[in-house]
Amino acid sequence: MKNRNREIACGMRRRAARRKRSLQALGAAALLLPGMLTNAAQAAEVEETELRYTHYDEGGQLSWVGVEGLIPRRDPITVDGVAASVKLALADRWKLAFGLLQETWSGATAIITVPRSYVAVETRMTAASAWPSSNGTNDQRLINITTTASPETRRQGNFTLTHEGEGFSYDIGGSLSNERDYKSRSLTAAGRWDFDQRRTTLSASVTHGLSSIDALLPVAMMMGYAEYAWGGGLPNSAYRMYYPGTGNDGVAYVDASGRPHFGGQRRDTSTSVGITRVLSASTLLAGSLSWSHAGGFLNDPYKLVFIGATEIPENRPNQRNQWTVSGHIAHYLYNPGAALHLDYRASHDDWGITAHALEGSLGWAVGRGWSLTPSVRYYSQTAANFYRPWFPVDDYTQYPAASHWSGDQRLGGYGALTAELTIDRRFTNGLVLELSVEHTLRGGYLKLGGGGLDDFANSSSTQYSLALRTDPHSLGGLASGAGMSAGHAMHGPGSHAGHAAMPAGLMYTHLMPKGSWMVDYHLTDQESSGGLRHGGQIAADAEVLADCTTPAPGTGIPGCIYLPSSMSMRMHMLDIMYAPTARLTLMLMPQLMQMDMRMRDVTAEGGSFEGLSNGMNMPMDMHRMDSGGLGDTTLAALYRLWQRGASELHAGLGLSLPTGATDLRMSDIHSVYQTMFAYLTGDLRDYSMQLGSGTWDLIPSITWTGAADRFGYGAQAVGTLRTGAPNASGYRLGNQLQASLWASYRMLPQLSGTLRVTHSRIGAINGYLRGVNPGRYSQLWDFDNNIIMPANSGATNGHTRYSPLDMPGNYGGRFNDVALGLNLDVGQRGSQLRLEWSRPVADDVNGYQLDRGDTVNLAWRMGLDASAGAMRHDMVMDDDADSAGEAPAMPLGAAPLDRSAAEWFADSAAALTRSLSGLQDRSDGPAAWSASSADSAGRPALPAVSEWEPSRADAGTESSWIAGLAPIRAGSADHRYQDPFVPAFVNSGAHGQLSLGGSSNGSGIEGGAALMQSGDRLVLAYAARFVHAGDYQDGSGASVSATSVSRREQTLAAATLLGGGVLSAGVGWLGTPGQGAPNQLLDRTGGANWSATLGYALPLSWGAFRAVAFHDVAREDWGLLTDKQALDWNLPTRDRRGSSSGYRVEWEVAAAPDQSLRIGQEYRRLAQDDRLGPVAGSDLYGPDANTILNGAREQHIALYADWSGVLDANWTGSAGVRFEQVLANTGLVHWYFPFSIDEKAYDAAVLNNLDRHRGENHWDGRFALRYAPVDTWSLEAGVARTVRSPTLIQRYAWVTEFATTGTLTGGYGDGNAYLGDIDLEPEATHTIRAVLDWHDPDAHAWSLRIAPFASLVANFIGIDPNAVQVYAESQPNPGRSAQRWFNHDARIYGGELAASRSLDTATGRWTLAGSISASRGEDLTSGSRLAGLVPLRATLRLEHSAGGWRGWVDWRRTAAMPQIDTSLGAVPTTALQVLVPASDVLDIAGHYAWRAFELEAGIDNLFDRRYGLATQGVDLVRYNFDPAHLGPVNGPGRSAHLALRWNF
Amino acid sequence: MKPLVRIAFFAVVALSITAGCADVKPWERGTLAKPEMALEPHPGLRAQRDHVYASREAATAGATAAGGGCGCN
Repeated sequence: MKNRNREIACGMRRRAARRKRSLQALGAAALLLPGMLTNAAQAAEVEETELRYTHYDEGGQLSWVGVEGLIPRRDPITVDGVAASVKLALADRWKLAFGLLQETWSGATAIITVPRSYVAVETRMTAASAWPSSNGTNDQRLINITTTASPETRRQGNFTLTHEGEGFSYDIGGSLSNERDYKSRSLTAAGRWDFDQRRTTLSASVTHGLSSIDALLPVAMMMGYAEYAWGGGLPNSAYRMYYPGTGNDGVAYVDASGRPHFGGQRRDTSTSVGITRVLSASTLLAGSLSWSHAGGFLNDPYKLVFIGATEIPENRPNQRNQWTVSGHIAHYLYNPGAALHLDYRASHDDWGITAHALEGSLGWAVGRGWSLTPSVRYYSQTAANFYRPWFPVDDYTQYPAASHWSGDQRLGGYGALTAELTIDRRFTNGLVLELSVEHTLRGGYLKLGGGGLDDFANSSSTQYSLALRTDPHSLGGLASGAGMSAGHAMHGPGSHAGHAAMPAGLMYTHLMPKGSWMVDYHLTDQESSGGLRHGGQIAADAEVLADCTTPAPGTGIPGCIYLPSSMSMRMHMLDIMYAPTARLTLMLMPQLMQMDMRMRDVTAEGGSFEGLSNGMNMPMDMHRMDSGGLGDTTLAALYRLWQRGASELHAGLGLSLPTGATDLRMSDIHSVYQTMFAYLTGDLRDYSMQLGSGTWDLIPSITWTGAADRFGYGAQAVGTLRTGAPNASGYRLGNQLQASLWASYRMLPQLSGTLRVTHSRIGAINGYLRGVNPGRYSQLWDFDNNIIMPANSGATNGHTRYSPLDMPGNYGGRFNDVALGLNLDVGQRGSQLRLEWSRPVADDVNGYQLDRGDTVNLAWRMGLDASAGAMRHDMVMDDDADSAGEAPAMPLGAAPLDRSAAEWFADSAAALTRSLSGLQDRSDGPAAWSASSADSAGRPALPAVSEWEPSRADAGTESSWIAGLAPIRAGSADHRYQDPFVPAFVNSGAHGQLSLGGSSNGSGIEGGAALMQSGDRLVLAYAARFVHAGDYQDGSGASVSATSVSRREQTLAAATLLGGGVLSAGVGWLGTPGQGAPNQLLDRTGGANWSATLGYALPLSWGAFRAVAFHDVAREDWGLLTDKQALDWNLPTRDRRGSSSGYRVEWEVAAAPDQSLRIGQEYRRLAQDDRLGPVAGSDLYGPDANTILNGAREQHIALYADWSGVLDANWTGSAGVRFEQVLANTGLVHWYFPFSIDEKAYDAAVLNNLDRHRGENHWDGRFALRYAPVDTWSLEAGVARTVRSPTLIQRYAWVTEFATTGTLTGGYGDGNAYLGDIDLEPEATHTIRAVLDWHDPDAHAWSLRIAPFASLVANFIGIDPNAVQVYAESQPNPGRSAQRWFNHDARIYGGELAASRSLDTATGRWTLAGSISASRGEDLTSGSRLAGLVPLRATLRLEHSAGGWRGWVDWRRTAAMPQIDTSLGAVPTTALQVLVPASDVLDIAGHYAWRAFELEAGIDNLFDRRYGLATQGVDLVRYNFDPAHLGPVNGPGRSAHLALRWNF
Repeated sequence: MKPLVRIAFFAVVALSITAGCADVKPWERGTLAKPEMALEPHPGLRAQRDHVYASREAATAGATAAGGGCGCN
């Protein structure tokens, strides 16, 4: 037995050590997976396994990139990685753990930072001498220079061998990491000793590592090195660095191909000692002290420092000593049953960097196998004492020769803040699915004590990690196979008697039993090498090179200098399957791609190449290219059509989402010098190195399977149909068809062999890769001739051809494979391992292609929970008290969760239009149309005139708010979050509502339907509504143009019980075929909004947990409806697109029955594009679109705590505080004609050359109290601070010199243009409100309410009177002006007085209610009045009700008000001088309810009075028909309306 | 260096003071054995996070055992 162990262990080590190919190693890892060895050798047991996928995204840093050389942009870094690890228990207390990791990244950090004025100089040198630097020539603010780095892959392997004794253990381990420019290996020895009955553990470790760095430099960067070395008066160390062999740290050399390299060796040693101590039955304390030493080449070879007008490599010391001390405490909180971890570490090194990191997390086992771990980490470091972002001109000559310098921001002073949430789901069979999301902000502004790096160094990153691992804490472990009595519930195909084995290389082969979950991991590895094939024959190089000279569109100047010599393609795919019924199986399949291409230089064989002018992709080592990252993701469903005995037929349909990139580029030139040429570099990489198809693809399949005795057989056809237009990179992959036949034979009960033959046809590629600068502009600037070249004007704008891979004709063909495989069923958990080797036979390829090599397919399938029965088992295993309860009876007295379905139902449509996409979120001009404030005809209200409406004080928005102030958890001033939909689960069947109504004025018609199906486990709700109305007439009988409206909306929502909580999902749609806008130049002519929400609410014994995620997409088309077409305005159309996504998680702690504390975290991301389209035949509005906002986005991250509760019998209170970070940015903009040299282009260049990134931190707070000593009166008072950032339009609307485009972006609805100001400050409103309510004890007979408020607004966003430009001659609307948003301080105050009296008489109940509200706003900076506030309004209502009858008369009077800021009165513009006169309007209506029916009828504006809408701007249409009529938009005249509703 | 020495000193003192108060019998360790009470409940995730920190922060630069990532990216 022992020998056998050693054999296995040695074999293992040999295999791991050889590591010839990671596939083999992965195969070895897989072979060690659960249970595999239990049959072979009882002694070796798998203790733990883990398979992890990680996606990391970093961005937010302002950079200047080669391809976009003229203008800055951000270049994100993405990393996709997979890691697998296994821990084995060998015999005799020996344990072996090993892991493999592979990660592929693209993008890069800055290589240098330079002052902006330098970049501005470069810009002037190249593109347009007419474009001055926006900031003069002495702008010393820094900007990052970065490159387009193409993907590269790192692979790492590591092992640890452990010997465990009584009270001690010793480890020895090693790791090896390999990437193109960095190779590293290390050895570790460690020990652990337990004392004092294991209450104290001491540990110590030593690690030694050796790394070698060999960076391939871009030629241009080498020029910088050379120039520095030869320039004279140089520090010696840099001189040494340049010459090979002379420096003791780094070596630079030129390889045989003439490419420069730079690198060296570094050695790292670290040692640490630690102690862990059990303090109590629920508390652990750990501490450690460590020292690390690094020596050798410690530079980053790619980092440069800017000196005057040139650049030099950084020069760090060749020694570093770092001390680190850490402390960690873990404490278990019995209520709520969670482990609190606090970890602090501090370090200091002799480079002068002192760092602190503090981390807190809460590991909370929620029950039923779920656990949540939120954590927060803060990090801060001081700068290294040699950190210098750049040196002023000539300064380096004074710099001491022995000194060091680095501009690497990671050695600067900054801080980082990380929030993370990890969700674990433990399944019955000991598997854990772990999902983690982490977001980090980094920047100098977060540094402890201030004084950190400037804004140029700010960045943020997000990391997602998904892992499937075994739970070392599960009973008995996985390998022992102990217990798992739920195993019988698993019906893995392996244990499913009727199922024959399926080959590993096939997908969509089988259905699963009802209710089962399964995860199938697939690895496909294809290696190709050898010669090139043409048709069915091997082709000679000369033939291939001759073919390369064939001219073809889009592939640049013909010729190839490289031929592919080998390629490997590796695909990791996770197939997550769920069977809701026995006939249907659903699948989700994300993929990770990795490609590796080797090419050979064939210049000697006659290969030729002519790039685009200077457009060599110099830094790219084309002899070896890596690529990789997230591939396309497939959603699929399989459905059984027919079954008889062991035979069955099923069909499938998949949809492949284009999540894989198709715009990967070659590296571009790194140099500041080269930015002028950089537009010629960074070509798209060839088709085979892109990660996805870039198109939405349909994948239909049909499969027939059968079995007899030990035999199985089957046939399958799978197609891949590419839909839609070519992808953004200009091409569309060919369609595919794959037909397979297979047979299997069961050799042993657990082992089967498979044989498969497959024929595939792959169509040729349609279209071709775009050349450089695709998409951004439709033209290219030819700097040599100073002309603009039209798009795709032949070869110069095409994709450069380097090799046959760049030719679309060299893809596709007819392929045949024969494959042999083995399938092994493992254990009782439905685990199955499949391995298949496939060999091509008789391929017939299109064009010239690398001869296809063998493919290895490996698949590992694991069953997860199979059914509810298994869930129960899980619950019993889980010792959490609160999860052991019976089937989820809602909610444990958690009233705050229980929102009635009807309530949600009523709000749903309004919520939809309110939250959609951020276009409606905030009043960005005309898009602020909101159905939630529809008038009585169901007609949406006109856009708000002012950002600051009285409602912004949240007056009367919800009755539960104390003093009318929004609680902190309601969201920010910009966005109100919706709580998850939590209906009451009452089995009340279906009920609903149908309504239909109409109004005479404007011939309006409105209809609605709502339906709800309630069950005790599932609630479904659906609502739909439409409104259609023509232009209405005002009181004088004149038709008010552009007031027609047509809208439709639908909402669907579902909620179900899951895991003791309520899971809900909703989707909404709002279509606006047309809606006039009398106060705007354009009307809504189309577009639709979609929204999707997902919510979860979980009642807990101590409170509740809620989570909501949403994604909204909106499209708005603006143009001219019929009324305005008559004006013959030759206006462009406007196209707005936006999306908004986000989530909120909230924990509610019900500290006492009547108190609750809610702690939440929110994230929201808003993106908007806003374009004005070209006007046919117009010289001015064309030929391209005018981009107002291009990729404008905003990111909000917020944390809040909100408390509310009853203080004593008389007092109720609430208080909250909220922190929100807002980051905004926008992409590059251009005028209609992107390269025009005039003031518009200048405006665009000014914005483009700015650091457009803006960010603010907001603090909101609120404190309110209610005092109700008796039941006849109450007093409420509160103070609140709310902060809102400027909208994207207010920040970024950029055309300063042209009124019309500014007008089209909206504003106050007065026909004037409103221009953005990128430096607007956020608006902070401090409000104090009080409400005195005095009423009779029943609050029915009489009431009196007094509610004054006052607000002080710091940085009120208004209009700058000094920036007004008047356009006397402009058409349309002479006299319009251009205004700029600016910040002033303001004061707004007012109040409401309301009273009512009711009398019950024999004739019914009579009520008289009246109110007076007043408000006034003052601009404290200029002393003028604020616009858009209704100064005084009075209302009176007389109502009579009896039985089902209710009738009322409404009268309202609005005082006269100026339309706009009186500070502008001195400006001689006409459109601003509108005054809205005072008005009186009287409405009369009645409502009658009879059984399930309701009827409402009435007459609005009974006396047909003509009046102006107080806050709706100017009637521009009328003004343009007749300039003598400049006035407000008039409200509707007399209108009779009738509506019928049926409730069932 | 000095503040670190101070912190280390306090840590050692704190640990020695607490040494006396740990009277937890082996059978009272059910809570300590919970998965969420492990000093690192998610070791795989922790390794991944440390790798990111090491390539982004100066304080963890010594962690070469994780290998790779000369910080070039």
